[in-house]
Amino acid sequence: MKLRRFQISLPLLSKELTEMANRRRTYIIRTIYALLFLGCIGYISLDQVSGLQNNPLAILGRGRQIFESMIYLQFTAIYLFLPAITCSVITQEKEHNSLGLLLITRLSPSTIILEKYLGRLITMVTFLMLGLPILAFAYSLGGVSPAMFINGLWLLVLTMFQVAALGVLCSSFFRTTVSAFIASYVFGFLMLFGPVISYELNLFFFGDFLKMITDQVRDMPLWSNYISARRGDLSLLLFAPYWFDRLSGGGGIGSIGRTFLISIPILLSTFVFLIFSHYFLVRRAFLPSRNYLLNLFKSLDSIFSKINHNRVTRGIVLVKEQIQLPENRPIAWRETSKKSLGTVRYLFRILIALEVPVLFLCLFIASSSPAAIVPGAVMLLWFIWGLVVLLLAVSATSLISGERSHETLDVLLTAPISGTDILTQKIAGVRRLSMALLVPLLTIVLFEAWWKWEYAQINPNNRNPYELQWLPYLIGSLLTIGIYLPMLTWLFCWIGMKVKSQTKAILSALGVIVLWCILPFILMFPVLILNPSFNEESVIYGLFLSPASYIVINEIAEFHEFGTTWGPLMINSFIYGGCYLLFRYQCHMHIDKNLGRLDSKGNFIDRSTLFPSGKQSLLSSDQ
Amino acid sequence: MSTQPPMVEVKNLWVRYGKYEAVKGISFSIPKGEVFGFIGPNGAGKSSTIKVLATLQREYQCDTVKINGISLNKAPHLIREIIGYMPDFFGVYEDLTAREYLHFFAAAYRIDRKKRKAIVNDVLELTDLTGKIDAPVDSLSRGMKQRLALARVLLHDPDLLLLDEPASGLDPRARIEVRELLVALKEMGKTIIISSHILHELSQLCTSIGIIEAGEFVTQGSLDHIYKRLELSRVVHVQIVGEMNGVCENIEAMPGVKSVTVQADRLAIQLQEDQLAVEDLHAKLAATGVKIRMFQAEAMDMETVFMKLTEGKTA
Repeated sequence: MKLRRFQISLPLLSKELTEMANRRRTYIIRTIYALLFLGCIGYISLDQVSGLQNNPLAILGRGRQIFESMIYLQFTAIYLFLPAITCSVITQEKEHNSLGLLLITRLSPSTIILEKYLGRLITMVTFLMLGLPILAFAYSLGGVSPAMFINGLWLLVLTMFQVAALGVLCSSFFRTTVSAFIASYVFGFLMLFGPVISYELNLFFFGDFLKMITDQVRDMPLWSNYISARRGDLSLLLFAPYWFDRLSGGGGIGSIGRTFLISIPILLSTFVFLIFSHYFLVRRAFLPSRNYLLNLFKSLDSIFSKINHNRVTRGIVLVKEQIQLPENRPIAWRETSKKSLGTVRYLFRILIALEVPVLFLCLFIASSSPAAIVPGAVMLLWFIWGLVVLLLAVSATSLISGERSHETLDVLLTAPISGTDILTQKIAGVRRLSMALLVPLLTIVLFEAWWKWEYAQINPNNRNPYELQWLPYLIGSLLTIGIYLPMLTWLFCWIGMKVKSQTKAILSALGVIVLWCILPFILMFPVLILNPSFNEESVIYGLFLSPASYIVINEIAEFHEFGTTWGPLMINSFIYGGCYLLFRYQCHMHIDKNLGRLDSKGNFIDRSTLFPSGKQSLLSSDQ
Repeated sequence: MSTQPPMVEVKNLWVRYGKYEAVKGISFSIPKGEVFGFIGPNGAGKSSTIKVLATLQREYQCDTVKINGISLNKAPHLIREIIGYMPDFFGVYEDLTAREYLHFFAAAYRIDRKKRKAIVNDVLELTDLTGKIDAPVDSLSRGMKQRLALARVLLHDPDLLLLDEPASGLDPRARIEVRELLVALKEMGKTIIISSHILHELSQLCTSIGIIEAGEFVTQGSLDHIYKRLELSRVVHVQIVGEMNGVCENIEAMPGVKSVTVQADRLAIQLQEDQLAVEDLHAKLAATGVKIRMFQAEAMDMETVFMKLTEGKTA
């Protein structure tokens, strides 16, 4: 009995781990992760192993490549999955109204944060431990120095701490899991790449400032070899994979010392995130339901209105906004006049907020790049695509799952509106959003097509002729945008119907799209393993089973394997045009089933033949 | 000559969620203009049955489920036009005002545009929410939201109201307001199916009740019928002015009187109504020459009925 007094009690952690262990989903996700991870490693290692049939011993000493692949994959897994794992840690309690109950127990806010943080870290560790057999295999092959080994693992652990802390901070600050989820990725991106972008563009003289700091630091011992050559190194201080790449070349204790030195900023950021999580936990524990985007737009409205009331303009209104009530399409009315991502005025602001930086960046890139392919524009396009997928996933999956979460779906379903009509009206707001998102995508595509055309005039004998073919590029891009946007909308809408909770629907939608993009490459691995003599070129068109492939290939103009630009374009359009029709059909044909109500099966009974109810009219307006 | 079908006709209804049987072959019929009280413990199958009638339950088996003579399976779209469903949660859009919310559903029910304004005003007046017409829904109290949900249900003047726990979570004042509203609807001849835990309120409202437990009906019928079947006696409170000499014995001797208990300021007379009606008791008392200051028959004690018939089981 005395021993019990010395036991450490971590009730919240125990609860988290027990819940995790009781969920069937945990094991399914872990298995899928293991398959993906081992598939990726196998795929990456295949090239090294395939050329060694004549001399199997040549594989010895090649453990380094496998080790590096594994570490980079683990970094990717942490950046991709850990925000999703941690962002719900506090918001879940807020959504279930159980955070208040936790706060009135003897658990202090810091204990709550730390136990929750630990719980999610353990989850991620169980994923990372799947890499241990690969680690052992790579180490046994040789080529991995102990310093590299320690550096890699240490930086992995640090990254895990940092990303998990950011997720917990977002979870502590925001009210809902969805907003915490989006914020985790947005702030994660800004944390890792914001300084680099600011450095490259010299925003607010950040580049000059960093160069000055670099000049000071490069003279310091330990740092000199790593900072001197690249002036922008300091802008990547919080990005561990970069430092793994820089430091893994060295060996010995010195390398380990530098790694620990480099890890100070990452550790500091982790502590800052945890301190702020603690700060916000109680202060933001009981937040009223609020639409941040809508509130932002409304406050902008009032600011603009105040500015407009001056001596010159005197509150002049060019286009009067009428408060209209729904007429024939009430659901479409609500989607397009009451939602922040559906209202014309607010969508116009989103468009401006996206379009102005895009135009600015296009001009900036155009004035600085001498190549046919502009890397900055390519990156910008991919970034906008990412944003488009995120916004569509949030808005399209929420169409039905949002109604379910707010308990309004049942009421809507008892109205005499057909399932197809509900869907058509619901999608109206997302369609408007797609139109707004179309503009920045088109801007970059048109810019790139124009740039290719201009470059072809100046330098017609380019090494890669595909880089100058502006017309196939333009048609390919336009077709991709034209097909992908509605396809994604219907796919996400379908997921939103299938998955009950709004948060799970959004997370599932993003998970599905990420998996869809990478799965064809993973699935290729067992084919190549089982049949080493398999001709890779015979299945090259299989690449297009991933929707991201054509976008990437078209942007970097890598059509050499295909010998033509039109073949891939046709195949890709055919596949995803088909997918679009399939998703649309699935949504329309099974709408009542997915919504969970009886469908009419085409039977028609004339209402006039019904028995009259003979009741007294309820309303004076009928009399 | 055509006979009108019952408003609701359910025969051998089964609802299963996987292996779990929520409703086990219940049958009932509700004539037009009746107020049917669905009573049962949590998990008894009340909400599942109401969801079937509201066309929101895809998976169920039955011999017949008809509303106003229309088979539920054959024409759910027609059923939706004649029912008004109010779930056991608010189901209101918090981003709209009360006016916008009601106009939203008026449009959803395809009410003539010219009539909408008048109808919305009418239902708001009926639910006493006229003053809140431009208030955002999220600023309304629970009781107001519940009344707004009732206003929404009434917009298209449905023949059948399906009300799942309409008074749950409301304070006493809001409960009384909702109850008064339902009484008004009853007087207008609406057929109402109402599930509730507040048995006292149902007893004042319902013309018949069905007590359901573990997915099966324990009993159903009019309150009087159930009362008689269970041989439950009604208590009548009587205050008599003056001397009580021999009065108790006289009353006890009356046929149909089970017992007389002397309380601080009154007599509590247990009556078997099938033998002696309340009004006959009053006449007989007056005939004995006693001066009656108060004569009050207690409402049917539905809690006693409920406790006697149910065992607290769930399906």
